[in-house]
Amino acid sequence: MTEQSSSEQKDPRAVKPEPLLHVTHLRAYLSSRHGVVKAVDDVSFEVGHGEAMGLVGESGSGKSVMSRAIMGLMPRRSDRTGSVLFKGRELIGLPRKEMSEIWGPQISMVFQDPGRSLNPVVPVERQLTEGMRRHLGLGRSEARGRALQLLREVGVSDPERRLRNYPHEMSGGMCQRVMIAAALACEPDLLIADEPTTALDVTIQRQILDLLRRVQRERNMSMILISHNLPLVAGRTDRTAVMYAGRLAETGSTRQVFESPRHRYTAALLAATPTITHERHSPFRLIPGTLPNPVKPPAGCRFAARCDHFHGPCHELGPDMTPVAAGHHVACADPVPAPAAVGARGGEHDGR
Amino acid sequence: MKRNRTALAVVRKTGRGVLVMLLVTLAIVVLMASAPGSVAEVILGQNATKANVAALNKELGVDKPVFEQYTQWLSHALRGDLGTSPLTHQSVTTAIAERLPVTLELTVLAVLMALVLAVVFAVACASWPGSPLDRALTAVSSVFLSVPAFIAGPVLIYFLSVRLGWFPVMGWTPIGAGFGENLRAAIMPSLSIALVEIAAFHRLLRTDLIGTLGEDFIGAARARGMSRAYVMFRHAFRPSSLSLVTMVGLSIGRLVGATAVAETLFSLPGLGQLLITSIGSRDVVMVQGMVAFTGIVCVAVNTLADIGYGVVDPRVRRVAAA
Repeated sequence: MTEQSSSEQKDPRAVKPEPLLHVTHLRAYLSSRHGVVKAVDDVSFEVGHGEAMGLVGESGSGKSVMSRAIMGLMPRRSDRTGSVLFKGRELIGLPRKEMSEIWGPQISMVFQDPGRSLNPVVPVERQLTEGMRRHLGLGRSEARGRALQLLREVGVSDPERRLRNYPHEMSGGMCQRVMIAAALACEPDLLIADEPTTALDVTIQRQILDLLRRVQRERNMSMILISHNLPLVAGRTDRTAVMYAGRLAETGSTRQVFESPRHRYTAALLAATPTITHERHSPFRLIPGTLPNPVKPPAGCRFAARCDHFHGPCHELGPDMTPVAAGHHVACADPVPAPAAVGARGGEHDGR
Repeated sequence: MKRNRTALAVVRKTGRGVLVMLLVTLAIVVLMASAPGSVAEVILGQNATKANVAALNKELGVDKPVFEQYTQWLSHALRGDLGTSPLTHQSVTTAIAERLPVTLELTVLAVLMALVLAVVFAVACASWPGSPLDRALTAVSSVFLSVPAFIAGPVLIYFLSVRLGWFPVMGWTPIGAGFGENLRAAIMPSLSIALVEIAAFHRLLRTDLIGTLGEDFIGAARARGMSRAYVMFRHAFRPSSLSLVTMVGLSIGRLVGATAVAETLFSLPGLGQLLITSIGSRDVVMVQGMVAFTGIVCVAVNTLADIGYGVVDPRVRRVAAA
């Protein structure tokens, strides 16, 4: 969903560039004891070349399942339909053998808990180099040399020693740096970071996110940064998608979404975010209610039951989003009125 | 510092092993003394007079208080002298040395067969949990688990020896007389005692593998594009095999008992057979020596299993030394 309105294009003859990742009508259903959980239910979006997209939403909104559905790393009893086009190639239905050629050199992933996503009984060196040896055909010493280089790039001190370490001998932040280095090892075009800092100390969180943003820009790589922490995403992405109960509520440039949210949910979510300037002892503005039942989601807008602007048409709202500004799309029957002109293009919202 | 802690751990483990040995050998003396009958009655036969039996008992020293008998035996045993059987006049150490190769081969072969089959079964099951293959293999191992060696043995003899003629029905060929023939004689007895172990190892490893395969680090290895086989053997297998290491250590103790059954069933000249005949003839000296020997082996094997933990999982290295 880079540039959708043709008026924005400078050259009228130019064909709309193929996005790196084009997801349409993606559904990911998981079976549970309570029935089929519609974790991702008809989601469409795009990620352009060299673009960092933030995917935000509260816990249980389906962000993580979506990342795995794109990746093709779904749990055993699950069902995935729709289309995931990566560089024009359909990933859904691709056999595992072909997927494993994509995992690493094309798409790679950084996981939530670095303490659990590194194998505790395998030294760091092998976990860093195994991908390079498989995909890039490097020998032992070549892969080792590149691993040292990668560790330096992600800010690991004394990389020689780290290669011999086991994960339990390193701090959480250090483990996550190693995970990022492993994810970057085969120079992927798309990096999916699923809550990469949730398990880390607050002071480390920023360092890790800044690191991700830095390598993403330096390598001109695309990135999907998943988080429930809105301010952390704000400063480090070009665009932002807001997810609620398995659907996308709003997508736009990060500035658009954070400065002039149009979906009622986004607005409520931003209003509920504590800030350093928040007046002491004044109550937070919370969103009443809870997420709808993911087994039997309500018809129409899924936020309707918790929305203070809810009325009739909300129940007929489909999963499609409507443009409200250039590159800014919203799925809301009664969007927040547009404020005075806000830049449609680019720009980071200054994150706190 | 680190070396001191390791040394301390070794000392403590050795101390524990020695204590176990003392208790086991003491228990055997007490048990044998409280069993009816004595070796003198066996030697002198049915028609011996009470006076003769008492005289021989006095000569053999079995009329002394149990504890005195034990300390006497212990002081000899510590000097490497396990005594001489009053019945066969053979030195206990010689008897053990003569029969050990048979039992050792059966045990090693049984553990190896159990490990290989169990790993193949467990990897297949864990790769497709809940599949028909998984359920079939789990059912097969349930059968193995519930068939004791004294039933598995005759069944194997009937099918593989009598019907198919692949293996000899009974008897032993030492390694010296040809490796192939020796293996042919050893395979069926080993298999009959390995069945239970196959099932135990298989179930344990299958559950641990399935648990490990659900871990984040497995997803991460997949996300690096590593192949199925690589993920299974280079990432999932090691962290899943911790309990298996313990289980193998324990199973060697169990197999000592099981070899006695297999050796009797297939008439093999091993330790187990000697143990059973010695118990029957109340040959305390022989029994005592053999129990002490197998005890040392069991303690040693389980200590090795503890050390194996550290080899498998680097996180244990610290804890074990602490």
